[in-house]
Amino acid sequence: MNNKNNILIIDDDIHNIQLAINILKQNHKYNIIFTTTGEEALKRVNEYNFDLILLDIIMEPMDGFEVCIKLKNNLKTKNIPIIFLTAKDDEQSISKGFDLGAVDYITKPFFSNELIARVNTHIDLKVSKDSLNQKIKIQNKLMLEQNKMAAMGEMIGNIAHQWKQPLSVITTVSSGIKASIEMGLPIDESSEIKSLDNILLNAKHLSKTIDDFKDFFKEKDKIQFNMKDILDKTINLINSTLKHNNIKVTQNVIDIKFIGLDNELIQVLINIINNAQDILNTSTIKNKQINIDVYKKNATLIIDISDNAGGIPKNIIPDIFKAYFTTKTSTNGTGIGLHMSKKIIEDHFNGKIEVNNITYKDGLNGAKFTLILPILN
Amino acid sequence: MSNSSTILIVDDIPMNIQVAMNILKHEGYRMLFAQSGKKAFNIIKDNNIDLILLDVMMPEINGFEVCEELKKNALTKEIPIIFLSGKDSSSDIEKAYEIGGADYVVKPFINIELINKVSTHITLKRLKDFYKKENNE
Repeated sequence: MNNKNNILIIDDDIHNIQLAINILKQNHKYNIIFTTTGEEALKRVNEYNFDLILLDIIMEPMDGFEVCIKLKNNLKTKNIPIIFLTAKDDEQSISKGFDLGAVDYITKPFFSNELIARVNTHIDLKVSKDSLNQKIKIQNKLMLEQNKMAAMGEMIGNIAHQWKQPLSVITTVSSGIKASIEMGLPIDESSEIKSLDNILLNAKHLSKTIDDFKDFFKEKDKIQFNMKDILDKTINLINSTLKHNNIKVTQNVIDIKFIGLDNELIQVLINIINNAQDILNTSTIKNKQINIDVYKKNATLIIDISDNAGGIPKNIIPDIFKAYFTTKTSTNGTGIGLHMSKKIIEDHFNGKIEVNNITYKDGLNGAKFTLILPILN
Repeated sequence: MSNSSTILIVDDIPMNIQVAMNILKHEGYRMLFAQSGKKAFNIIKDNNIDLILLDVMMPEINGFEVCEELKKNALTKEIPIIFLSGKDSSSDIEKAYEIGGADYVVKPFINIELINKVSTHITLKRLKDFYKKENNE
């Protein structure tokens, strides 16, 4: 990026352009480009990144108002500040200029320090806004990474859990075979084959967990997937901790195909389920439970995830989707899980995420997260 | 940037203050007013002002003098000042920018023009404050 700010001057009178250039070139920060027609200007805005446009109104065949409308309707150019610079000084035209989205309106003849001050103001504003947006973008990216890292840590823990059992089977069975060979015991072929099959089966299981894990961190395009599969995959990824914590998961999922980013949805589901899990672990109730219901409502798919951990205190409900908000101790909560979930659902699924407290038939209370996802055709 | 910004309107004629307030009342600003330069200085001392709308023609201390005074003081020199004036004589407009005015609006106001200019200079001031604070941290 070069440090100069690009200004585009559009005026059908070359003398006016010359005058403006003479005034503005005193500031060496400005790189000035000009055109004498609106049509030409609309081409130029595709070649350069402009920080400001000075626009005459009375031009043929396309007048300045029309140019302004076209620029404001184009995603690439709609944020470029436009200052009308014109001899038209009636109130109606000035109002129209601002209505069309211009940031300022200067009538000719103008004073040089007036033009300089107003141009400086709007370039300063544009540059500050751009850099703020840039900062926000970087921050969001950072948060996304953080959340992914947290999810990865979580899953590595899960893999360790899931691998214990098959690894122990493989070790036991293979050392059994080795021992019998070393001790010269008679070899029963069919039983040895059974043992080897057992090793193979367990090794396959290990390799599948790794595939699921690897798959989860791949960047992918939208695909069509079956909701049942997604739920199964999700539960599979965190099943060992759920079991370890004695939490029963019930699923009531309709058979439906859905188009979207499957891994991102899994990430959201894991965030919400893990959240429920953490709260359930602090509760003293006996039958810890997480219920997942998936059903269709009009043109949306609803995913309800509820627990029976007592519900969320009313005073924190407005905050739970905010970034870095956590009720957990610093060791197990980053405070971005639910925030990221909300962002993913809104930005990547065009959907909504809601939270409510519910009361079950047995009198227990809990929290219910609802994902509302528009179904794409 | 959620707190509302504070605007000070300085004009010796109450009717003019009323007109500006009516135009800006739906924009969510906190509005203070003063009918003389002297009163304006007191209000600025006691409040965090984000923008001043300043009439040029006032008895005793005129708008230009108020501006020059504020620009001399390190505590107030960053407050953007938009001059309001009934006459658009060239020497006035030139002087307004020369002494550090951010903008100049001629009365009678065009509503959307005043609203836009106020919003421009308040946003710019808040962004500058934000970056200044950040650089100091």
